Amino acid sequence: MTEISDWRKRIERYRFQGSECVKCGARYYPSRIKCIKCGSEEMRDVELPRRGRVVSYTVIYNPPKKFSKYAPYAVALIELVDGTRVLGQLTDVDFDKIRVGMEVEATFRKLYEYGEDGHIVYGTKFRPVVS
Amino acid sequence: MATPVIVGYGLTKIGEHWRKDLVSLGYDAAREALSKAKNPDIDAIYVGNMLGMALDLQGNLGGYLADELGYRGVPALRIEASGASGAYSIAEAAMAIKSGLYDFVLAGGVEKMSDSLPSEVYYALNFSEDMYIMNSTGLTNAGLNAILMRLYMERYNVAKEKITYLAVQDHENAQYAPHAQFRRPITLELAMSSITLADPINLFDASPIGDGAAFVVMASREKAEDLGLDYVEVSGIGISTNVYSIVERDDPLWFTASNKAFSSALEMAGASKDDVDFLEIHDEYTIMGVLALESLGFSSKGFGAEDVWSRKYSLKGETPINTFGGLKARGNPVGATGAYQVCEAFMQLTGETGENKVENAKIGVVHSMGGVDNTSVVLVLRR
Amino acid sequence: MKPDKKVGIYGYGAYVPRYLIENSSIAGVWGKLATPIKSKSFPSIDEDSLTIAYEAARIAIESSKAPRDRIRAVFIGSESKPYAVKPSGTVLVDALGLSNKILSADFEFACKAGTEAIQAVSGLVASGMIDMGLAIGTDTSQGRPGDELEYTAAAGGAAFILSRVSEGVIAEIEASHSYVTDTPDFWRRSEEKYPRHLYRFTGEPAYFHHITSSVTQFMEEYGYKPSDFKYAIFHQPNAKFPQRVAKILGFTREQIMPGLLSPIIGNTYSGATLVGLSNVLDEAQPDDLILLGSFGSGAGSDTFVFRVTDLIEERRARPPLKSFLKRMVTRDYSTYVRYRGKIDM
Repeated sequence: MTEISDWRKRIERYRFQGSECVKCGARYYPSRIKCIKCGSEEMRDVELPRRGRVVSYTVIYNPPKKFSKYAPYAVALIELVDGTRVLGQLTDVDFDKIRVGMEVEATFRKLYEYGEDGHIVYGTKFRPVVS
Repeated sequence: MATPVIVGYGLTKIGEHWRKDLVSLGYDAAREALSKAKNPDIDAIYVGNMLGMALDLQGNLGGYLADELGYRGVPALRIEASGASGAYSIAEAAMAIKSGLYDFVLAGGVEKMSDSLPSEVYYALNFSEDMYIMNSTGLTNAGLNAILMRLYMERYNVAKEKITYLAVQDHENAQYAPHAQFRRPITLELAMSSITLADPINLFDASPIGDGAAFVVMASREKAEDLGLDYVEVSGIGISTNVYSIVERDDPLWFTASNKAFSSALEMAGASKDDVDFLEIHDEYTIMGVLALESLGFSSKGFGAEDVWSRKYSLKGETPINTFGGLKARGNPVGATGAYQVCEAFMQLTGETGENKVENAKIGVVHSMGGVDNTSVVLVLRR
Repeated sequence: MKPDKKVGIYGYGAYVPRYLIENSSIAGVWGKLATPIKSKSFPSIDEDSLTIAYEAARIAIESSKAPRDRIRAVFIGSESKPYAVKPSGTVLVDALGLSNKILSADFEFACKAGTEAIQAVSGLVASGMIDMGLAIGTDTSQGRPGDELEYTAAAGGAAFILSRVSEGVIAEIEASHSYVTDTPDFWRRSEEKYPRHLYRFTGEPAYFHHITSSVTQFMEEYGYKPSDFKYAIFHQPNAKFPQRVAKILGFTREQIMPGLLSPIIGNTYSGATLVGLSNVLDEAQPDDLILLGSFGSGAGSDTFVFRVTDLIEERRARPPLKSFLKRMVTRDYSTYVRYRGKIDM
């Protein structure tokens, strides 16, 4: 039951929490057990900065079944203000307005559901900055 | 150490095989390979397959196929490395022959995709990537490649036409390939105007869904010569893995696993890049093919698409690639694809090519990837 | 009601989804002529009352810098819970990174579930059982296609962190009052997707009777008169009702306009008066007195009086509600029905 692996990952997804190497400071999202930059196994949880900019992006028109209800939707490669790179879905955005370099911020949305009678899975997505 | 050689191959036409299931497709290709190799006593069977457990709900394919073929008692194994499964199973077979443990091994791959809904297939294909990322973002393989394509276009200021042109060339090469899924040449206009899968990737940038199986019979050179079988040597094997997620790579546009697998395979073969007469590269998406050409060192960084556009890699070009249509036009029955590439390299080196012949080909290279360079397998085949 | 220890708002935040549909667009589909408001908000396909609650609560916490580990209650008022059974608050506790030593429950009282949550958190805070608590009103309300409610049922929410006044608050609750009778003007049965209502019965015997009773009783008991207040916020199921109830009670247009958002964003149900209160707090000055009169069908009304303090400036919501209103974009009926799940798939 993948609902249970969704539960296990809830904190990472909800809070946009990754891991940081205590030795060299490298940050990862999703979290890693071991730092692939310096090899240290001393990692700690870290809430990642919520702002970043779009480095590259796509708009998915051909989604896996799980995401059919939401398509089309945009997914971007985002560089956070601390330099960490993550992949994230964009929301509240018009596709023709997405630009490389666009500033985005983390938000909390529904990712997918296990049908009408199943779990709703929530997590982090990104939207154009609201200031 | 024994030298592994290929002594027979078999493949099915790629497409929608409504009346064949996973095992019967595998049976047909394996049977053909075994017949061409004059039915030797097989010591082991390796079956490359990615989606059997996800789509066909069938596991332990090795034992199943061994029994169907009548090789009861023979060790048999299913090998899964996503899109590289077929090439990986042949690499494993070559290593087993090299070790001297086995004299004859049947290896290849099989995939049955058309029974499932496209949305189920796209979901299962995601399994080649970190599913936590895919499920947290709604990404697909096409989406991941689209992100790379845009990055490439932005960084090197390349027009999409030059990347998508690889699909046009693939279709051109597939027209004389009887086993190819799409044998109809296409225009660049058609390729550019097809429906979008994941912007900027459209239908013609992507390899299709199809069913197929391809197998080879491998032997030690000594045994092949004893039995008077015609053969092609597997003289170099390289396998490597990359940082799994593209976001954690130093450069997402550089396939380190492909690069490393290629240099290891060349080193083992005692050959250099310049000795390569043709390449079968993994172009699951056009951009993947372009990045592979750069990562293997045939094009410099940022010039892969330009080189494709200038027909450096056409059948009559400097280094022909995907001589039977590549993943785009020959087809991409995932776990079987690498095995098709090996069969095609064998066909080139033995001259069983018809119109697609690369003249005086002595060394061919097969490049196969699982995911976006997550696992890469390179084989150097020599006549 | 006045607790022994004074309670106030420590921080607040409000959120309205990006999408707007004009009443004329709905009217065009159903061939109606008159419409009760200009437009209404609706949520994106990936939003629900829980994600809206998260947005509002996150702004409340970040803008006020309330220590997350001191928040020991999360009560969410909503009539559009994502689950019939499974609390929304538990998700918020983990998503907002609050202490797991916390009370959490979902409240339902039609459109006044949010103010009911404020009453409950006030009691817990005043009694000293907890230091701080979150009370949230949030909804993605449903109107049956073609029904009168479809023109107004909107989405939005606001969150309030309450603490004792001694902790330092941006607005003190001077007093509150609640009034409840069995008046079945509007309801939704357990397994039903859309609510039903008794048309004009929702007016005089329901909305007007309860708000005027609650507010009048409150002012009599605690000795306030309409002119004491800089602002007044009344439940806003449409544009007309709150303006009429204000007039009946003796409040002026100037007092109610800053808290009257329904003409543009519609009726955000449990969020309605609280989103209005947030908009008022976004501009209020120290010592301003604010009256709030909520209404929940079924029926009941809560009245509160808040006095703004000097701390308001440093803890105003960031981003303010206006930022969300500014980013709104108009979409047509087809996008609306798709995002609202009104198409049977």
